[in-house]
Amino acid sequence: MASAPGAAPMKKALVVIPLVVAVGLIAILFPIVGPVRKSAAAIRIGRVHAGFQPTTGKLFVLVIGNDARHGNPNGALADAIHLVGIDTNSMKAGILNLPRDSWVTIPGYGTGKINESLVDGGPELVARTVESLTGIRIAYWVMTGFGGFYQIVKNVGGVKVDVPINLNDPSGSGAVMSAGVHKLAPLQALSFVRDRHDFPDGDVSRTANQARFLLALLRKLRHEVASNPASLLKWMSIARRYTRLDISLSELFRLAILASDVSPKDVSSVTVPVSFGFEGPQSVVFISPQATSIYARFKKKAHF
Amino acid sequence: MFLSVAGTSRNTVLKITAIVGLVALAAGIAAFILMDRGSSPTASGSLNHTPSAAPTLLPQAKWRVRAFPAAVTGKTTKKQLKAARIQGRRASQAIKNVYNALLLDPPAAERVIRAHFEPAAARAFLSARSRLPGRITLVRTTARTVRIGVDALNARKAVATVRVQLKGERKTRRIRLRAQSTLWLERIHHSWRVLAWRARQGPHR
Repeated sequence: MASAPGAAPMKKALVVIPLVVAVGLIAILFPIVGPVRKSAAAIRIGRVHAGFQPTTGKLFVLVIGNDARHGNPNGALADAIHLVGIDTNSMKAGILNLPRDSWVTIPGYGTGKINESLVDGGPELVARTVESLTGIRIAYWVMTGFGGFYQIVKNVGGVKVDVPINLNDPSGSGAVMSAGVHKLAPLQALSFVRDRHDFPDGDVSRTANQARFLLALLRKLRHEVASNPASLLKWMSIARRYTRLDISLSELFRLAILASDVSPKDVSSVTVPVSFGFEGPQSVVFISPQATSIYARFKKKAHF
Repeated sequence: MFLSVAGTSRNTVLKITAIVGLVALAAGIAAFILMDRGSSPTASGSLNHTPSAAPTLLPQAKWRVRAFPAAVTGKTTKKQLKAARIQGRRASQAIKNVYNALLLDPPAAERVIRAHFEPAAARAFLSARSRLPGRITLVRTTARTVRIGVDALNARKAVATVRVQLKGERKTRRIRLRAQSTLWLERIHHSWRVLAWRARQGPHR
């Protein structure tokens, strides 16, 4: 029996088209339904020391912002490093801002810029580096990249920030805004915390702006929780959606309650005093010896 | 004689039976009253303690409880509503116990708080003296509400807002108070425990 003309190409097409569609679907869907890699979470939270429970009423949390565009891949540099302290008795808090180019001793890796410690040993090594620098024992670390930061700001509906000066860095961070209070959308917020070209001292002022943003976020959390306490569960749900937790949900809930109890007016922020210089060809900042007394005060009181 | 003796004996037995029956009935009624008093927080307040304890039979405001699923992403499902209703009821029972003890049975307050609060929260609560000011008598609650948001994900966390208004007397002065608290609760092994709290109270005008 002779087949009709054009039947063979038709048969071939019937086999090939579904195959192409299937391969295409797998390619599209695999990143979504495939196994979630450790580094893919937008935000990560973990403990620095397993089983460590602060007993002195002082809790220290290291906040790390890395330069990864998506997730938290290995090899990202720590662009923002802030040590947040809370005195759980007085409910006063402090933020110690560490410039990313600070030249420090990285445990097990000699000396280097503090932001390289993330590449060398992940957030745990950043925490250990900060611990060896300040003498303060850190309980938790929180890390996010651009993606996680974007999602946080988007899901909380923007954050009101008092921008200290006019910013005009369209080609770098993309920050273009006037001085004063602005409600920042996710991309604007990202450009605000990334902008360093508008400041003569570059990264030092940028790190202070990042602390300003953290405070604005705290203000928003507190305001929402004051008007509707159940909104804390909403914040928890946002955190859960984008976070890879190395701590229990119960622990996260307790930390969230604690954070919502701190009034932004009781939070002081200090940037480590530094001087600019070079280490070989690298432009770095050297932490001033006066920082020692700041660390001691922070360790004792958890605020300034 | 036998008959008479037998008759006398039967009368005695009847009398004794009647007396025993009466005594048993009286004991039963007494036990019932005592048990009833023991289970009611408003009643137990007047049994054996401070002069500020609430009188037994003053009418108290009915608890109004509203439980809802919180942190819902998208549309609320029937499952979330059901979980919020069931767990909200259980969590609110713990809250009612705490407030009934605080306001109407002060001597039992510490025990009840330790039973329903996490140790650190209990210590803070007891040291903050977040309770009824002393020497208030004739405590009568006029409004008692609980609004409780139960985490929609797994109904293991909840946030409750409690509002209470009351009238009372201090010496000869009539006073009116209102108290508002926020309680953060977590379900641990089927029972709801208060992890943290925030409370304020003041005169109600």
